[in-house]
Amino acid sequence: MSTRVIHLPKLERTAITSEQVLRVVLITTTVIVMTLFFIMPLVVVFVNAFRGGLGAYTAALSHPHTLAAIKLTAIAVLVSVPLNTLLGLGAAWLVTRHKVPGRSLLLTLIDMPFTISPIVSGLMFVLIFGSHSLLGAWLIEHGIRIVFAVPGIILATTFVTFPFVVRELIPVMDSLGSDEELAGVSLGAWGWTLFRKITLPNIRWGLLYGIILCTARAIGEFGAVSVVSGHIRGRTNTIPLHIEVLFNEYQTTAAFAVASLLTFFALVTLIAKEIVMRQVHRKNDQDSSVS
Amino acid sequence: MKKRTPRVLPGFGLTMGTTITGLSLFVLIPLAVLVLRGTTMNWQDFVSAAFSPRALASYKLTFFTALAAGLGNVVIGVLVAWSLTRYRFPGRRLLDGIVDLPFALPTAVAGISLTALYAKNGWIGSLLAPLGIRIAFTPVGISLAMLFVGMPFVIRAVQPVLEDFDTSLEEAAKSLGASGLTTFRKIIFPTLLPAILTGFTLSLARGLGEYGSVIFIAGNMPFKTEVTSLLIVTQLEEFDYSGATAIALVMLGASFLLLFALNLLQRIAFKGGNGS
Amino acid sequence: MSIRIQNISKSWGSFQALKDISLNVNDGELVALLGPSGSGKTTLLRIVAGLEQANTGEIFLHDVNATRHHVRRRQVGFVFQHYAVFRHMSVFENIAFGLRVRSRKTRPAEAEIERRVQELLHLVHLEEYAQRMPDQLSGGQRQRVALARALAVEPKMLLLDEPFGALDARVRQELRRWLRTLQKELGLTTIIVTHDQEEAMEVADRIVIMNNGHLEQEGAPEVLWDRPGSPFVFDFLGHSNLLTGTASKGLAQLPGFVVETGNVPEGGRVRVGLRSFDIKVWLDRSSPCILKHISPFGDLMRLQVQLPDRSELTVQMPRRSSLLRGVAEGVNVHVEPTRAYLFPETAGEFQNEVVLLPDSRLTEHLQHTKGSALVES
Repeated sequence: MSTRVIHLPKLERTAITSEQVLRVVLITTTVIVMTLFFIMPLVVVFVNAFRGGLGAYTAALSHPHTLAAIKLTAIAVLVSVPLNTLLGLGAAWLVTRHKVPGRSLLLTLIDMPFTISPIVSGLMFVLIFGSHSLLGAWLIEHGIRIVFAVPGIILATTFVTFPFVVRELIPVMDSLGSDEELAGVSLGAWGWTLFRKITLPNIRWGLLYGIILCTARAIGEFGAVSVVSGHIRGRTNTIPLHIEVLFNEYQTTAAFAVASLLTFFALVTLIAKEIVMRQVHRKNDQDSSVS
Repeated sequence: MKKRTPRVLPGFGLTMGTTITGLSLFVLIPLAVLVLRGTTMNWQDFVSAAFSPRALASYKLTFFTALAAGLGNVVIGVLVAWSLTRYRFPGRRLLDGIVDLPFALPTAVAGISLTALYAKNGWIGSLLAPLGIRIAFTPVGISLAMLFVGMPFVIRAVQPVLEDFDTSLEEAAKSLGASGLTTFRKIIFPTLLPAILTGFTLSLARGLGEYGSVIFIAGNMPFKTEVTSLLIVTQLEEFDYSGATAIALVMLGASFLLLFALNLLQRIAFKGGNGS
Repeated sequence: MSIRIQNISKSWGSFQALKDISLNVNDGELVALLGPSGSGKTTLLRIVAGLEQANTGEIFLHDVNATRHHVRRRQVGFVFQHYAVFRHMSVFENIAFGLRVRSRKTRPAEAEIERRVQELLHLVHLEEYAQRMPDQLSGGQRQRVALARALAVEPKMLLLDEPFGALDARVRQELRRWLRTLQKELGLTTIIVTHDQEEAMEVADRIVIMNNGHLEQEGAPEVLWDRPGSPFVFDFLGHSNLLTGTASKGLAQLPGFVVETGNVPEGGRVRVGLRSFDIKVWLDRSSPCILKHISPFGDLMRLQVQLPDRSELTVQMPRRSSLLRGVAEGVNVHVEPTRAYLFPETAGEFQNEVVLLPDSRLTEHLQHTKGSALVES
């Protein structure tokens, strides 16, 4: 029996299409851009923070002024975030579950703190409560300092973070629709029971993400707080203001050490967002998988 | 007398109350005070403060740097959004997550790290200095900082549109003989346009009002590298409340104009392009 | 509980959704609100439930004026179009919800709640699914959960908004039959909104046909079928053809054939409704009508006949009919209606007249063709 030799045709190399070239170019450009603009700044923070070694790092963080700044920032956050969460829930409920005449005006007003410059925001509070205004003068007479003191910082922080929870909740609640709440009402539920048992479980991921964003912004707010602050170190400096002070005094390592705290929190925010997004997508897939 | 029927869902009274109160306290009253303060000034003083040479220089600087940053963001944003949506490559998810960094990172931190990078002795600045290119303490640096803080706007505006885009439209075009570029120009781009415009306007608005990320890298020299927001702060530090108010009102007016233009553009773009 | 709907009107801005609707539903009756999208049927249902408020008119529930009553006072069981099952609660918790949210005074003991829910689970055949979450259920199962949940609070009436709309044909059929049996067992006054006329015909004691916010006609299914009051009602129920002609010497001239018009005044315009199985065709080279398409469907033959004015007639005949001998696509056929619904136009409105056409021509033709003695029905 003889073997037959089979000749297979030579595989032709397909020409490299222009699409493939484009793909490579675009991906490479994207990676370069992202590295340049996003990753490098992150790296710079941490490299500079630890430049003086671990000792210098902890020294910078445990400095009394740093600790005071942390405390002040914490107070501002602990007041503004819960307040804005409650207000945000109320506003989102109003806008998405009730017919409100002038809904778009309401939404524009809610977005205001998001659209105007933080400096202008701070200025507004100085004009209201500064010693040159009627209200401010009256308050100072009674021993209440708002501007250049802690209350002013809390106010400014609350103002700039006002829209964050609402903006996250409204699209979520809009897309959920009010059917479940209506069903609950038809079955006899009302008020807090309705909200607690039906609405809250459905919005929890959007709400959580809104709170996280709100907190991140409250911690990091710079412009508005800078205007109302008075910059008295150890007393009216939040963490970002303290960073500015250190940097301007060429205490670069210390500045970056403190900045690394905030950067770390920013990364936590991003991770939290990923987790929330994944939860939301999982839910969406489940909802649509069964007819 | 007909009794009014209660609403089907609860909470109208309560939430209306808290929302109106909150808005009044935190938005309406502060805005009103600002505007009032401006109107109590006499016209001469207002104009001389709002349009002083120094102020005008800051408007020019702020506007053009923000514009450049906005345009840059459009180019980069579309590019990045395209790659992230259409291609699969290692690290894609990581990069997608990082897009929101400028939103999450405090502006002061962004400011000092960008300065550290682009100053003469910084990692990038030192590479460019021998070529005679200076970034920090020039308008380029300002634009760069604005680019950073505004980048997520365009990317996040364009991504959903690309994700929802019906690729069968592209395939139809290709099967009819259109080249890649033509397909992009005539089919994909018009659909993206509203999103691009939205992202651009948001980036521009952000850039105009930006403070924290800009002041470290800017140099802050009056008439040269002083942005409007810094000018306001300087006036305040000199206790020139009227001057600060006047300039702030100009800024406010500009933001409203921008918002209005954004709405208009979106309406035109929607009417004109979107038959797809 | 009886339901009396009196002069209900509702508009959204300039759009009038409901125009002066009056309707009675008797205790224990199952009424179907049938109509195309936009006819206002869902709006009416929601007004009866209290989920919407009418602009004018009143609702009486068991002779009590409930127009201003909040939905919670009306004791309704409402089943939503997309089920609105609480996605974060198990099947058990969903069904128990109405009982658990009651105030302390009226709330049954937990053991009692458990018992009732089990009863309902048994009723809707979902006993093994008690602990499942909604996203683990099929559409039909979720619908049953929604129904059980509504029944748990012992409502006085049941209102269903297109309950089977999103389900497969087979599941739809099964569920509607099951619903009918259940409703009869419980004797619960029920209103069901649907756009599916087959569904309405099968489950309802009475059908109310709505169109554009008006009530077109109401009555038992057979009555609507045999005596449609308008071309719209005729067209909405069943496979039908609607043509327009002018009465002349007792005949209406239609494209390609004629129909006797009985008492229709001379010269008047008349709309002629022909059900597809009330038409016979046979081979006729002199006829201007052409057979366009023919296909078997079970025991029937479905035919599309093109008339001289290019409109088409849908015809259904028994597959084995001798009349179809020689009939194939492309041949000319004679069109012979055996029953016509006439809607003469008077002052812009249509009245109805049902005309049973004499068999004479049919018999004549059969005798003519020396075909086998297959009797035509």
